[in-house]
Amino acid sequence: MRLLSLHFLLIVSILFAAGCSRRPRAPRRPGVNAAAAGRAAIEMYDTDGDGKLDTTELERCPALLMALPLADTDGDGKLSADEIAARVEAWFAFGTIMMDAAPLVTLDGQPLEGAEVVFEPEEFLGEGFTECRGVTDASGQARVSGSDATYPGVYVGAYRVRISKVVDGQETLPARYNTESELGVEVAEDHGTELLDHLEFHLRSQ
Amino acid sequence: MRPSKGSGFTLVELLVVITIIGILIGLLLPAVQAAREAARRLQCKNHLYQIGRASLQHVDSHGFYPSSGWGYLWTGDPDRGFGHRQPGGFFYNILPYMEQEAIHQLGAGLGDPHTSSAKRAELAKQKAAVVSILHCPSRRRAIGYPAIEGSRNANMPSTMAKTDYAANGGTRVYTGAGPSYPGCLQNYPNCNWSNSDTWLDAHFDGVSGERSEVQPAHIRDGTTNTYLAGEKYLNPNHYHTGRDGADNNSPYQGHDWDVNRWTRLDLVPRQDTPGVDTMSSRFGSAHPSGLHMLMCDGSVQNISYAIDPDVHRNLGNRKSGVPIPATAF
Repeated sequence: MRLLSLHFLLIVSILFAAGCSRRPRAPRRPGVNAAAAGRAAIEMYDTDGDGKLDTTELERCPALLMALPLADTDGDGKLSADEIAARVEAWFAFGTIMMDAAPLVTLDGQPLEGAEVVFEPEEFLGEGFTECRGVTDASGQARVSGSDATYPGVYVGAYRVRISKVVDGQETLPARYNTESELGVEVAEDHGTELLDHLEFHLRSQ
Repeated sequence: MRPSKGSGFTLVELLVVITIIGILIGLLLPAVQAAREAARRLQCKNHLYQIGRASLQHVDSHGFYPSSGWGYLWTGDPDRGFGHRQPGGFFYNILPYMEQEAIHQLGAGLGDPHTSSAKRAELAKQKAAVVSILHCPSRRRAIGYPAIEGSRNANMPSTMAKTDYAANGGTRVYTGAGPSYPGCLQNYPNCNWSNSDTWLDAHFDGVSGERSEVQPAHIRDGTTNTYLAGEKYLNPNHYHTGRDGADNNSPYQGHDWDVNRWTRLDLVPRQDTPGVDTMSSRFGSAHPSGLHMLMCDGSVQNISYAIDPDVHRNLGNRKSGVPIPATAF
């Protein structure tokens, strides 16, 4: 018994010494079943029943449409369940879990202040991802982030983007930008700097 | 023959001794690590100080702060002088003033890189040339890293030099003193861009941007109150891969995330955190205690990660007109 406790002490002290790095810990990776996500995406968006999503079908899922050039590994211009699953795996293989996002929102060419921008994880990904939100400032730019203050930013993934501006309890933007949103974004390292520092949503009131 | 009983020590005694040694190491190691980090931090600060000295010598020679060149498609060309005609960026322009004239002059006199393969080969050597002053010892060793992004005017080297520092591009990300990519980047000098005081003031509030020639007189907030350069943020998962979009080229390239960072309101400085903020636009560092920023007067300040975002932004703006509180540093 005493031997055991001594060993325990020894191991604890070594762990203490080894674990004393002062670099912040990485955020936890969102839990997702890639294969299930691939199947779910096909189920939700494959309207012609060929088991693949072409560009017309992908218009209903703008995040995947954005992923198409990078995810379409067999080059047929369509996404299969396997390709979507591989893409979901690839998001995390790059060494990035979270990225900064500061999208610019304009309405009829003018920066839109006070609009709420919500990044809602696409439904086919399941429950593991976090919703992120932000409000645009006078320059039309919103800092979009989840609620965890330790890790501000957006997890890599596929998002539906909903932009709304409520004035006196009334939604002032068309439904195609919020409740029936046609906007989306795929947050992934290989989209380059163009993605998150130059992410722009140009809305029209008509 | 002596009986073994009574001599030596028992297993329990041995374990007690090992445990005590283990605890002592456990107590001592963090202190040793902290002392090592303090030394590295000081060395890092000194590197920025030397970059500052070199920049001020550049100002003495040419009348303006080092320009950030033409954009990410280009690397330095020794036959194109300094200022707006020079495709290479901030760190390329200060090479002669930090006793690295040899790297700066690689390929000199070999003509147009578009037609001279000899020149392109020499400029590839430039991209591979490691300068230890451009590295923070707390982050990574001053060696060559995998070569990812090429330049129009150079061949691809087998490994590429890197830098852990970046010049201050102002409060607007990648809208430098030069015309924005891609228009003028390809068409220079036939583009809608000017280096006049009024144009510069209207389009650029940093100190080193695309083709910028910012003079000390343009630093209206005062050289003590304006960043010139600082440590750049980098995701630790990409310290050695060379694949981070904000760290995939050499220190001598033109205006890009690799060699310029910005102080937009949301871009508060951050300590390197694994998996977070790849292709970062912000300043940041590997030091737990805060980052170093080089001011336009050549001094180096310790900046806390908890700095007021407004103050940080105003320090990045050479003409904010807002007083910097004494508690900022």
